[in-house]
Amino acid sequence: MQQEAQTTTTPTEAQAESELLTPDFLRKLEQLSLAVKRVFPGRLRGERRSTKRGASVEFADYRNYVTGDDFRRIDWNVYARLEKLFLKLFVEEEELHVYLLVDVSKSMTFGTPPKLIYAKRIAAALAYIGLANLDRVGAAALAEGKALAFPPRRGKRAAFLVFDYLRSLQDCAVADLSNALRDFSLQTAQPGLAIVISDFFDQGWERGILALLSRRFEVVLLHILDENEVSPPYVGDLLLVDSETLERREVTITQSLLRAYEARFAAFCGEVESFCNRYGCGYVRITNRTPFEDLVLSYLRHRGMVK
Amino acid sequence: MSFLSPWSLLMFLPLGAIITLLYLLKLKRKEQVISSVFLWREAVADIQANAPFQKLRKNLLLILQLGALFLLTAALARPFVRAQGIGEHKVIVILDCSASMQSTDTRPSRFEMARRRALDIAERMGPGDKMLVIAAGSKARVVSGFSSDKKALAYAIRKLKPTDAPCNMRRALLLASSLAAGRSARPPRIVVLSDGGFPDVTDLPMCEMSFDYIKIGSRCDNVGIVGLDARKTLSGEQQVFISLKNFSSRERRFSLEIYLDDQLIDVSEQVLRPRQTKQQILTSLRTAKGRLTVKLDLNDDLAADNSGTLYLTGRRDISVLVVSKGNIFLQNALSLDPRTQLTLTKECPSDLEKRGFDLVVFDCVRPLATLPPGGYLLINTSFPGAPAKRTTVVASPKIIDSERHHPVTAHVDFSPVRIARATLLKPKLWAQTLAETSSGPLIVAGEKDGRRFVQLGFDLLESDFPLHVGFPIFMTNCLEWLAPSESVGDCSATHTGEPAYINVPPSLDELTVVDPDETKRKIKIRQTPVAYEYTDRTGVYRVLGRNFYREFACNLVSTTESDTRPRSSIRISKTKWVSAAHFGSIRTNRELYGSAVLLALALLVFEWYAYHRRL
Repeated sequence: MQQEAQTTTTPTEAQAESELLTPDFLRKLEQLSLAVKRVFPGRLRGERRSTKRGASVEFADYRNYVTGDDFRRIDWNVYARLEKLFLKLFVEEEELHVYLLVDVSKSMTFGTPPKLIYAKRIAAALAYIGLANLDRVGAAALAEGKALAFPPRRGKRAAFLVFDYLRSLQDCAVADLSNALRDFSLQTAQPGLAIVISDFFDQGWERGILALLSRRFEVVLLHILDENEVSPPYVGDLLLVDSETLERREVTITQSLLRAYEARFAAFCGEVESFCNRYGCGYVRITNRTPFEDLVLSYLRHRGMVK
Repeated sequence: MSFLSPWSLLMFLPLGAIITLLYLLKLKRKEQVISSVFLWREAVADIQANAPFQKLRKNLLLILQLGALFLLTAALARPFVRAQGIGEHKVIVILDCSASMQSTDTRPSRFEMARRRALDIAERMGPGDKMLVIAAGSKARVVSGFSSDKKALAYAIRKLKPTDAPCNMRRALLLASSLAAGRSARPPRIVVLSDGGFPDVTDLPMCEMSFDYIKIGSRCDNVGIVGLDARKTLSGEQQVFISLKNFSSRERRFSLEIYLDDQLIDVSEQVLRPRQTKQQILTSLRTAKGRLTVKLDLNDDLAADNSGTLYLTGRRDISVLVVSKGNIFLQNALSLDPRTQLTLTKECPSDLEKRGFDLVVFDCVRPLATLPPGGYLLINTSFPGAPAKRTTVVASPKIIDSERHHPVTAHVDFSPVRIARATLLKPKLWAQTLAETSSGPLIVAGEKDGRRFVQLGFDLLESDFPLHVGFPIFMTNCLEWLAPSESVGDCSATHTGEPAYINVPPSLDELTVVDPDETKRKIKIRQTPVAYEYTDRTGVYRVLGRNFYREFACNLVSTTESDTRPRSSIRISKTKWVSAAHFGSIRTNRELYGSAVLLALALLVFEWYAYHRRL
């Protein structure tokens, strides 16, 4: 019964889930773009610097003329001085692949508002930012056999498709974060920016992230938490039931146990962050009590995730 | 430790089993679904890894509850230990504070030894025991009511001091009996800490009490002054009587020193065989005046009886003014006393105050309107300040009653007196009728504003009173009362513990008495002579007042106190109580159920704390 109570959404939450983002907020998001550290090759021209040389206005390099090159790219000034033909190369600007990976495990349904709804709204906002900047945005629910359910699309028109997809996501009783990430990395041909939104209450999630990194994805971890997980309000003799594994644990919650839990929780967050630092992943820890607009417009900008 | 009701311990088994059974039943825990338990799992593991005695801690509440249950059942079984104790719920300790307790045969003194015994009894009191302490000197005094507060009792006992007065044990036992009576079905034990230096108490009304007599003292090595007095012969010469006794079992040689106003006037070598009494009469101090001190120069167990002081008044002249047209009987009667210095006059002089007569006699002569303080004998006359008004003249009145206890009319027989004519008197409120006829008062005495009056309502020459034996006695009485002696006791001294009577001039309203140990006490004068009751020390007491200084002395002249042989038994009522070596040598059962219940309560409080704090 309590499990049902945790997963039932309130009217406000239902409205938030149906709309995800308001039109006013969408207009504010158009000013932003997703920040990436690395440069990825794209398929179509876009607004992101690519590893390829192309026809932008930004000079990149010279190379020797070979037969068949376009005469229009020969630098005649150099030829006048050196009497040798050099081709002027420019940075190519292409599209960026952005993948929004949302953990839909049972543990994400906890909290007020539920972490899953919060995660969906963040994913929708980031997707809209990407689409508004001519990035190719894909989304996936991290559950077994559901990798990349929404293939990358481009253009603002795709925004509503992404929103519909995100809205349709349901929590999954059996979700293995590690395997889901590994499946995603294997099934995705074009690497890009992978934003993983999860509470990481899953042992072995590091293997999934490493699988992404091995495919040359740039990974950003959005660690989403509920206040009750940071400071549990429980006390007394309880039978704790794991929402995912249904593991039952008898505990007598005392002050000392609460202190031990909080210490363990802080250590857990520290482990996630130090993992990210070690492997060059972006890491942002947020709680579901942070006002959503502040989170996107202010907090994520300060953390360098959007600009 | 043993149990009075050991079978009650068996109750622990079923009750303990019930508590354990309740613990064995699975605790119904509230189910709480949470996002993930893996962090909780690790936190619990951390706590278990860091906490020692984890298994014990798991069942801490069970252990505490079983412990409390065991203590409660143990309390029902009434545990006790055999311990030294007073064995009674209440005890009354009578501590002898008399002079003989200052004997130093037991070091440091008998009183200190008795005090230690009393403290020892207080220390050995059990939780339910109570103790009351009575100091028995010349008076009996409760120094601490029934109390179980050991510190308060010890404080009261330590504050006690021995006195130089004889022991009035009868009064102390009466006080103890009255305090013990009716308090409970089990009467308190009465413990007497004494050397037995008091007369047997044979008339104690409540003889069903149980007494413990603890003898203090080991031997008797004392020589003391057992008699010291002075008297005057009819010729006014003084004789001093001294009686000495050796109470020890060996011959004692010592010097008898006699001082007059701190000047040594006589020394004599004295030899007293064991138990010998020796009396001396000093006749050489015929007219000597001052403080006579008798000292025994020897070292014995009791110092309080080795000296004594007397005040010799010598011969004191009394100046008497007789204002009379002529009365030979009056002159002869006053002249009988060799101290009297008579002055005769026919009219009252106007400078009475300057001339300072001790006594003025107005014989049928009206006095001045105002008289200075002093003594006045008014014969057949009166004035506004007189103690009585003259009313009607009666013929041949017969004196039918006289105040025999008043100093003026004591020993005077008025029955044969015939009076031809007299004027009846109407005494004022402050005056007292001394002799009365069938018609009204005839002789009145009174004291007001420093003036003493004796007023007669008839002329001596119109009666045959001067021809009777009672007349010179009456005149001598008038002399003594109207012109009182200056010193206390008139040659004699007071015994310690007895009140001293101080004659003071009527004009004084407050006195300060300085004891031999320099303690000062202020005394309001309500009547004369003033009775001073704090005479527990031997020595000289100084009396200070406005333009007034006197001394008086208190001596321990008591055979009972000087005989410091400790008695091994005392007799109270008809029972002889033999001394016990130690009080409280009995072993008593000290019950511990109260401690067990308190401990169980403490355990339950800790269990409650442990449960709520989730230790």
